[in-house]
Amino acid sequence: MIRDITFGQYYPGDSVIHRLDARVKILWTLMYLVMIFFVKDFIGYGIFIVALAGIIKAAKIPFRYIARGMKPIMFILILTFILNMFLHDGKVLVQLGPLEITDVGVQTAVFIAFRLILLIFGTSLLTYTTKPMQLTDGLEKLMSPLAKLGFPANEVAMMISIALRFIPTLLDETDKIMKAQQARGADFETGNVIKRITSMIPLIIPLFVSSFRIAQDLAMAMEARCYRGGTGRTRLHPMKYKKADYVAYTFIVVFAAVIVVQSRGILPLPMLWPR
Amino acid sequence: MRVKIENLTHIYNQGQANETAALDDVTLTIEDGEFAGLIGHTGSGKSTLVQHLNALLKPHSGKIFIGDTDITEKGVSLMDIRKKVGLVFQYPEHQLFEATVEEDVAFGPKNLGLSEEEIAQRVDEALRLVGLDPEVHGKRSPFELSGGQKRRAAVAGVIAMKPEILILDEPTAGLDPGAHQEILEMIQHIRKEQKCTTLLVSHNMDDIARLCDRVIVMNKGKVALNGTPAEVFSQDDFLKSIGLGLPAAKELLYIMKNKGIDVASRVGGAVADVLTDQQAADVIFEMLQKSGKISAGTGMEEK
Ligand SMILES: Nc1ncnc2c1ncn2[C@@H]1O[C@H](COP(=O)(O)OP(=O)(O)O)[C@@H](O)[C@H]1O
Ligand SMILES: [Mg+2]
Repeated sequence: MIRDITFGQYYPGDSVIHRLDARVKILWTLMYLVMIFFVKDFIGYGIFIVALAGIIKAAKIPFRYIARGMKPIMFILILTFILNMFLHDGKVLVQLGPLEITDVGVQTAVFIAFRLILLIFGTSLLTYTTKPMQLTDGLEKLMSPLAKLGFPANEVAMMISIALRFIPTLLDETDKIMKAQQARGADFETGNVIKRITSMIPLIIPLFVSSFRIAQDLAMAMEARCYRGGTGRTRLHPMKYKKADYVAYTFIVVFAAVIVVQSRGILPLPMLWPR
Repeated sequence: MRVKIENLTHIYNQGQANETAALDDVTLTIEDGEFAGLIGHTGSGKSTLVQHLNALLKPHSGKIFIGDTDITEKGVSLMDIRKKVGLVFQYPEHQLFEATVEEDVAFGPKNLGLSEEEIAQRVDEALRLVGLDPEVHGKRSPFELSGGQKRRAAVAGVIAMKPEILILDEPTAGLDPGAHQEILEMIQHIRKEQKCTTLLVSHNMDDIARLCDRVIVMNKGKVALNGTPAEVFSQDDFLKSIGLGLPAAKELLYIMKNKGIDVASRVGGAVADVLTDQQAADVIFEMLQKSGKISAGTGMEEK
């Protein structure tokens, strides 16, 4: 059950996307995040969906696996959807006492829901297809200009990658402790809110203790291998762009251009549900 | 209580790139009151198997009978299963969470919905059974105990539920030799007092050979061997081929046999019958006596 959380995990594979340079994927993700807020209509989303579908296909990740990653945010998604339906002025569609669902509300709700889903789908692809170490290397390299200004690029990159690296470890640990407590009759699944929250105590406390233990072991292991921060470290696998990476960069630029042009209405593309 | 497993198969991450068939058509029975040992290379599916026995994992296919109940059927009470089957996880001390050992041991009985007096009595009894003093250790924080004591406290947490079947997943992993021995003695003591059917998962062939009535060997998710310790440990080549070893005493006799001194046959036995250090010492002693290297009667009291 706890293993259903797939967001932030690495999905082992050897696809074109997996083999791309981490920097390409990080920049794509950043661009994607910005561009999605440019989108004004469903044609824009259509372009996003086509691009995303293409990438998912190329990465050979089952759609079901990514969809499972949506589960934890389902609640937020439904909540924003419902709130949006009621919170906009417009032509009243349904009247529920003092509350009214308007046409603008429904449109906005659907629109925002699309945005959230696309955000999660798009950003989770980065970690699905990039190993934590590659991600760190990529981040560090991208931040290296900032390092000249005294920004602790290596340390930040290392922290992020450790955090990512330990998501599966902590999920494993959670799973184990949960089972151990269930073996003693603990019940995490039924009861009212209060009961469910208190039933988490036998899980949270051992998890804290375990996290500290893991952190301590990791610190020890890093120190034993003389980790002293990033300055002067060389790499086993120096990052080098390949042909596929340049192709990917071209795709990113083209994609960004299409979105900007389409959303600004520079091209006379038909606007579907304009806002 | 009898445990019967029929054609059990379990697949992790089904339908994904990292799909693993951790159990593949496992069939076995553990008789009422038996002390069974489960051995196998790391990743052979031992932990996966034992987690099925109290319904922590659902099988892909197959049946599991605890007594007469098929626990894979819909509608069986989970609480009932967990009351009957006590599972002590690997590194069980990682599950401790309460402010005091007493309260932690009480967690299971509380979940069973027992009365206050009954809980207090069970906690007291369980702590004594695992060799902790309720007056001294019971009031302490579990995090203040030594490694071996923490593990006992965690075992007490399971014992306090009075399971009819006790399963221990590598209960001595990571302990020093002293604590290791104490945990084994504790298991034997619990068995004697509570008369529970027992399944011990271990990597220590000496412990298995000495304690168990029956040994089940797992390899790559399948049951590779299943028989008495003498039967199983006579398959030394096979065991080595799947990354397992022999009890040290038996290994010793095999080495001597290869060097031309078949100790066991010289005293009219077979290496296959020798399992424990004590038995090996006995046959060596007997051989030396027979060959006149030592006079009859010497050394016996030193054993
Ligand atoms: N929670 C899990 N998710 C995915 N695979 C698992 C999980 N637990 C165990 N496995 C895999 O199942 C196989 C059997 O593991 P396990 O039952 O832990 O073996 P053992 O206890 O004999 O070492 C291994 O290949 C292991 O990697
Ligand atoms: Mg195991």
